Amino acid sequence: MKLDDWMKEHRTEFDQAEAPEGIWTELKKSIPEKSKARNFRPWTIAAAFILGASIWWFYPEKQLPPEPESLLPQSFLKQEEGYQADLKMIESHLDLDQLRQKPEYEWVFEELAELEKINQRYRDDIDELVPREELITVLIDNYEKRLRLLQRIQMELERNQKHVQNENINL
Amino acid sequence: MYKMKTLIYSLALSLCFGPLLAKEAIKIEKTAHVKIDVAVDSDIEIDASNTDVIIDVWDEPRIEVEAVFRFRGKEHEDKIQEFLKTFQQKVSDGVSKSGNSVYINTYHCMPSKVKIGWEDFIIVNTTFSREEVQFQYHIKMPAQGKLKIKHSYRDLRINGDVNLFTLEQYSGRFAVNNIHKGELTLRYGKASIQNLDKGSINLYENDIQAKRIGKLILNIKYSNLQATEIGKLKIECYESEIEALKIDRLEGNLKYSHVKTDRMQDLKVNTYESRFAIREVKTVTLSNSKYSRYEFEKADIITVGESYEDKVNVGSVVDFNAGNSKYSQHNIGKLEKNYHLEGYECDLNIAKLQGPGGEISINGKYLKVAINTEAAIFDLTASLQYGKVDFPTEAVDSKVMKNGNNTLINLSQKSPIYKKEEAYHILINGYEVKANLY
Repeated sequence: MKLDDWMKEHRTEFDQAEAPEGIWTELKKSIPEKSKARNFRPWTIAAAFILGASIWWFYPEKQLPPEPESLLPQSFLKQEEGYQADLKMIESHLDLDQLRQKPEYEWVFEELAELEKINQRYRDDIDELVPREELITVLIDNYEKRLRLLQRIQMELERNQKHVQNENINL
Repeated sequence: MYKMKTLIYSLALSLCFGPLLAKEAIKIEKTAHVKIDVAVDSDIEIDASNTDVIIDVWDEPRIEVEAVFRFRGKEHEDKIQEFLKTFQQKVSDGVSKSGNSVYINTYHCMPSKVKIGWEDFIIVNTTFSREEVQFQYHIKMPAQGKLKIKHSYRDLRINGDVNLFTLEQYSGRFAVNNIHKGELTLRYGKASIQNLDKGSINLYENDIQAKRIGKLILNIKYSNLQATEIGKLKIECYESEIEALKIDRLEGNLKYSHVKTDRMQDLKVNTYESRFAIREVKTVTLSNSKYSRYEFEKADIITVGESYEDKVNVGSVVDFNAGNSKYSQHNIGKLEKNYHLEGYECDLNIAKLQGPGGEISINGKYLKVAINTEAAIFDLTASLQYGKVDFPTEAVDSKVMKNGNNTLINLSQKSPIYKKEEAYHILINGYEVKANLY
């Protein structure tokens, strides 16, 4: 007889049967108690910290993805420093915040904004496998254009000074 | 200008044969194919960044994609072989269809020479050069629906006619036969279009050559446009050059730019430090012009709204009407009819009064006027403060009245030469105006 058939046959007996007295107490005693969790000692925590810090100290940049700009050639990065210094120098001679308020220079700031948009687009490609020379040419061109634009503002300021004087001439 | 045709096709040819001119022999070549049935008027979107693409337009209800990978390098063949194991699958995954739209994403992930990662702690990632590795997609497809392409860094060539076309390309070269309606944004590259019926183009650091352009809205910066023929051109132009054999109408704003053409019907512009060289033009309207130079061999009507430090040289003009003009120069070879000036510190030179008669009216301050009246019939009325008019006294009957610093002059040529209905009537009013009729 199969076990399933035998169980079906004795089903009523199982439902009526009761466990012998004291069996649960005995059963509980026979089960071994769960061992208590060990307390971490301070030196273990310190060791883990030192280990973690060492890994971070010795190989910090290896864990993080590289900054896209760091993938650019050193020659360009040096050139870039030069451009940024030139831009700062010209900007220091111009009150850009004040000029921004004047409608006649609106186009300059629109142009600067567009240059920034294009610059960002190409910088997004730095870590893509695109032709490097073409990308760097554009990044350099972007700086050249910014410089030219700021130099142009200086020239326009001089022109406009003369122009404003002559605007009041009544024909 | 006359080399235009050669220039137009040179780019198209280089796009076709460029790959054939590569120096190194092909070491590895692998081709992947995908075919998909579509309606002939399906909308097609292609993202072809960093991929060479040739599109042949056909009328079949089917798109066929052939992607070719070529390797001409000397090292790292193992990496290339590894990379190519999934090539067919990746190309197939890039082609999909949804309703009436088809999407093609070219597989353009270049294999890298050095793997980024922990193994050798190397972060430097170098790519195979264009000479070493080439991806080329050859797509045959219908183009009766909308076609939208994003493309960069490589060449895109479309053989055939495109109906509704949108292209965004940067750092690439583009050539196409015919576009019915196009919306193109091209940055840092070169483009060649045979025919564009209508549309808009945004150019930034791009050299574009076209055979025929119909109606175009053009936003052009740091770019050159060369065309054989342009219909209507509405323009925003900055630091750019436009050269065409013929432009029907040019309208818009130009800054630091240059326009050169043989023939134009209408020119209506606001300009700033720009130069125009036009052989023949019907009407010119300079609504607001500053620091600009104009050279016209022949013009019918020139109208200046506001002008500042401009120079206009015109060989022959029928009517020239200059409104509020300051520090400007007008040099006219032949005046066929009328001239009018409201000016401040302007110079006017008229070398010949050509027509049978007309009106010359000059009004302003600190003006210098020189008019060659030889062989012309004329009369003059002048009212001047601190001014002076020199005229050929022997040939005219004149009345000059002086009252302090004010001078009134009335003169006309002696009869029988003088005929009022055939004469130029010259009227000069102003302060410190020096006029010389010679």
